[in-house]
Amino acid sequence: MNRDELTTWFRRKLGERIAVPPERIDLDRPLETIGLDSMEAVELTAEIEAELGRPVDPTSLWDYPTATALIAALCDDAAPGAELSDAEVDAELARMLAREDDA
Amino acid sequence: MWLPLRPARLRTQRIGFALATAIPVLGVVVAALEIGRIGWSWVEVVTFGVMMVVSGIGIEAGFHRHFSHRAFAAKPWVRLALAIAGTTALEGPVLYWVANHRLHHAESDGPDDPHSPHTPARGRLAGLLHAHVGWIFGARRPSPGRFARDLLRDPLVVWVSRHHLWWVAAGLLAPALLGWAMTGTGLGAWRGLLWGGLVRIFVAQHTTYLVNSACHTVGRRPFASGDHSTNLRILALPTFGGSLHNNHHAFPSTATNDFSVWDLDPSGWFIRLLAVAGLAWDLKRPTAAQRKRRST
Repeated sequence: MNRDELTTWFRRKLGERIAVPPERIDLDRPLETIGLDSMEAVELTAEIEAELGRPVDPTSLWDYPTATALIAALCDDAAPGAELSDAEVDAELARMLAREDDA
Repeated sequence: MWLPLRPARLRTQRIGFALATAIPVLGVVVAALEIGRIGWSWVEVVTFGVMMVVSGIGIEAGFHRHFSHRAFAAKPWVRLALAIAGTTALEGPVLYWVANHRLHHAESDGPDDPHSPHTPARGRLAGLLHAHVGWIFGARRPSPGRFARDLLRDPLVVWVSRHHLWWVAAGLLAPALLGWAMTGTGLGAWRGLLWGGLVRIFVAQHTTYLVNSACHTVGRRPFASGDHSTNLRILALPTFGGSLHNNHHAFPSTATNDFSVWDLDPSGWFIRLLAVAGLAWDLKRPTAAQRKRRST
């Protein structure tokens, strides 16, 4: 699936989910401001996985600043990802939990 | 910090939350009427008891200590079982539960705490009601990308969360089957469903909610925790150790909440048992010196 096809598909899927016509979806807006909750993020990434036939982390929706950036990364496996590594996510969580312990 | 939730999605969620809150209450009313009409049997006691342990341990040892705080590590199948067991309590998918709980700790009893009874704008009683159950219907959701990022990358947690209504249904079906197995009658299955299912969900939900409301309001504060959290020992058994809440806020990542012989902590006992069996490891617990430093 090339970038244009994936972009069209993504517009349609996101449009269905948030009840907005596909042509009105702004793909350059930060994904987080679309307001998908955790369950919707999980469902949408499952749909992307089914479409692409390979695993996609639900955190991708937060890892990339915009849908355009996410689509670009999904189309090009070799592209250096904006994704945090699992070790970085672990470190971030450890910091958050450590702050609690010191609170 | 907060997710900008869309109005249409919020409406759908609120309907779901209302049903999840109201149906167990209805179950309690029907169960009480039935006891008055035809008396009790062992089916109610056994199905309620078994399922209460499943969902209570699932919430306190699973959702809370393992998934929210990483208080201990465990074998994948144990993690799977804990995630499913906690989901049967009908307190939402593990991803949602954990994000709310981590934000609660980050902002405990402050303006961004999702469920603090101490909000200046509300009176005391309204504050308690908000912390107990009202907050669920609020319009704010913590960002999962910020508060549950590790779990969004955990395929096991994502899978259990995606199908969370399956597990809720299994938590209703299992006690019905148990009731049927005990009596061989449809009435036995019905009473299993009622007591091991709906009444148990009501008790599981509201014991958790009491930790959020009562355990930030009344009780002892043996540790300086920087918030209003308290220990309420009278609730220790029904909350599976969760009501030792001041101990928990002072040391959020501890796997075991019992810092005195009077602190009954069934989840801590269960986690120690897992460790003895080699199924859990890296149990965190503050040292005596750390506890002394924080004691009031």
